[in-house]
Amino acid sequence: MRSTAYLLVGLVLILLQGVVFRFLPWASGVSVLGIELRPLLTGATPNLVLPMVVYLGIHEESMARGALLSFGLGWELDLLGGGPAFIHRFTLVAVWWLSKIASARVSTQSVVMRLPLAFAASLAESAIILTLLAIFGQDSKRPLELTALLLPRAISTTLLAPAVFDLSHRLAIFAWGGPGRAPQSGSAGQSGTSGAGS
Amino acid sequence: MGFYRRYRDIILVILLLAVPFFFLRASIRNPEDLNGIDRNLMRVMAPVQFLAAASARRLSDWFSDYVYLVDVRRDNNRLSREMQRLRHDVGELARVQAENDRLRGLLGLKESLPVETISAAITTKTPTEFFRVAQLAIDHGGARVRQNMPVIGPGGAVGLIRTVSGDSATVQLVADAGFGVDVVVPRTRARGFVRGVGDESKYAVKVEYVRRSDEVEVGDLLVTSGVGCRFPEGIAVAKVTQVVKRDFGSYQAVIAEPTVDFSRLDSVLVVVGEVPGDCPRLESGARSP
Repeated sequence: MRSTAYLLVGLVLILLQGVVFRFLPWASGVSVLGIELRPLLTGATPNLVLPMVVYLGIHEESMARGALLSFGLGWELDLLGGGPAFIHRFTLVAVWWLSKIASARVSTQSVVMRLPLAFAASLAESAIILTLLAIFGQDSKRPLELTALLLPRAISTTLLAPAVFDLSHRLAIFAWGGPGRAPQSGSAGQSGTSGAGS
Repeated sequence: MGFYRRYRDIILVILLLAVPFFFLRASIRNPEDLNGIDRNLMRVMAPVQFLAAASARRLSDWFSDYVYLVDVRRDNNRLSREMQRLRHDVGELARVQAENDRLRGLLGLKESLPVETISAAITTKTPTEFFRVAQLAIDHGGARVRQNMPVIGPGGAVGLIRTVSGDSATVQLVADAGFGVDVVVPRTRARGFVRGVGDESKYAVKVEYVRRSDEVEVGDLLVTSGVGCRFPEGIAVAKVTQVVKRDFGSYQAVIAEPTVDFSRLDSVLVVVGEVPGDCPRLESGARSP
C-alpha cells in the first residue's frame, strides 16, 4: 500500500515536474531590476522525485523497500523524463544510498539540515549523470556544457524540497501510520513526525 | 535471520545499482560497440520500455494538454478583454480626432478675427416655429457676455446673443425672423440687409434692400459690411440661392442660405471685444442694425 502510494505520487510529481515551469509566476516574463528572469532560469527545472528519495533514505528503515522504491521512482523518471534508459534508476538508487549514509552521520530531523542534504543530493545526482555521460556517452563536450545547469537545478530542487518532504511524510502517515514504521509499532511516526513537521 | 536479512538487503542494493549501471552502459554506448549480452538485454527490455513509455507519454501528453488548455482559455479571455479595450480606444481616438479637427477650425477662426472673442459650446438647439435659437454653454468669462453680442462659427455668422444667464446664453440664429445684419456682396460690392425668414422647414434668409441695378447672382457670398458695428467686417453670412429681378420697384428679391450649418454646429465664438473702426461701444439692449 505504502510503496504503491509512493510510486503513484512519484508519478504525479514527475508529470508535474514536466509542466511545473508553467505554473511558476516568475517564469512568465517577470523581470527584476530590468533583467528578465526567464533566460537565467533555463535548466532550473526541479527534480521533484529527488527529495522523496532523500526522505526515503532518511526515514525508511527497510533497506530493501527504500532501494526498491528508489529504483521504481527512477524507472518512472526514465520512462517519463527522457534521456538514456536506466540512468535515473541508477542515480536515484545511488542518491538513496548516499542519503542513508548521510542520515546516519548527521542530524536530519530538522528542515534546516534537510535542505542542505537535498541540495547536496541534487548536486550528487547531477554529478553522477554527467560522469556517466562523460564515460559512456559519444559526445565528450556535452557533459561539460551541461554543468551550467547543475546549480540552477540544485537550487530549484532545494526550494521545492520542503513541500515534497512534507508530502512524503503525510503519505507515510496516511498509508502506514508513520515513516518506516509498522502499524502495530507503539512509537509509530514519532521520529519522523518531529522532523518532517518542523 | 537478522544476518540473512542484512546480507539480503545489501545484495539487493548492490544489484539495484549494478543492473541499471550495466543496462545504462549498453544503452548509452554506440550500437556498434554493443556486445551480444548488451544486445539481448536491449532486445528484452525494448518492448517493455516501449509499452511503458507509450502509456506514460500518453498520460503526460494528456496532463500537458490540460495545462495548455488552461493557458489557452486564460489567453483567450485576456485577448478578448484587450480587444474590447482597443476597440473602445479606437472609438475614443476617432472622437478626439473629430474634436481636434473642430477645435483647430475654431482656433483658426479665432486667430483670424480682429476682435477679442471667447469660446462657447452649443448645448441644445431649439428650433421652434417662431424662434430659431440655440443654447450656449460659455467656457469662461460668461459675465462679459451681453445681449446682442455677435456669435460666429466656423462657417460664418451664427447669430446674436439674446439672453444671458450665468455661463449660459441663448443665441438668436441668423435664420430667425427677428435677426438682421447689413451685408455686402464682395464680388460686386452690392449691399443688402439679411433678415431671417423663420421658415421651420429650412434654414433660409432673405436679403432686403438690394437695389434692382445691383448685380447679384445665385452662388454669391454675402459677408458682413461692418455697418452698425455689430459684426466685424467680412464675416460670411449667407450664400445666394435665388434672385428675383422685378420690372418695377427699387429693389430685387434675393433669397439666401446661411453659410453655417446649424445642425452640425458644436462650438462658436462670442465677440466680446470692440469691433475695429469708428464704432460706438456695444451696450446691452442695443438694437440690431
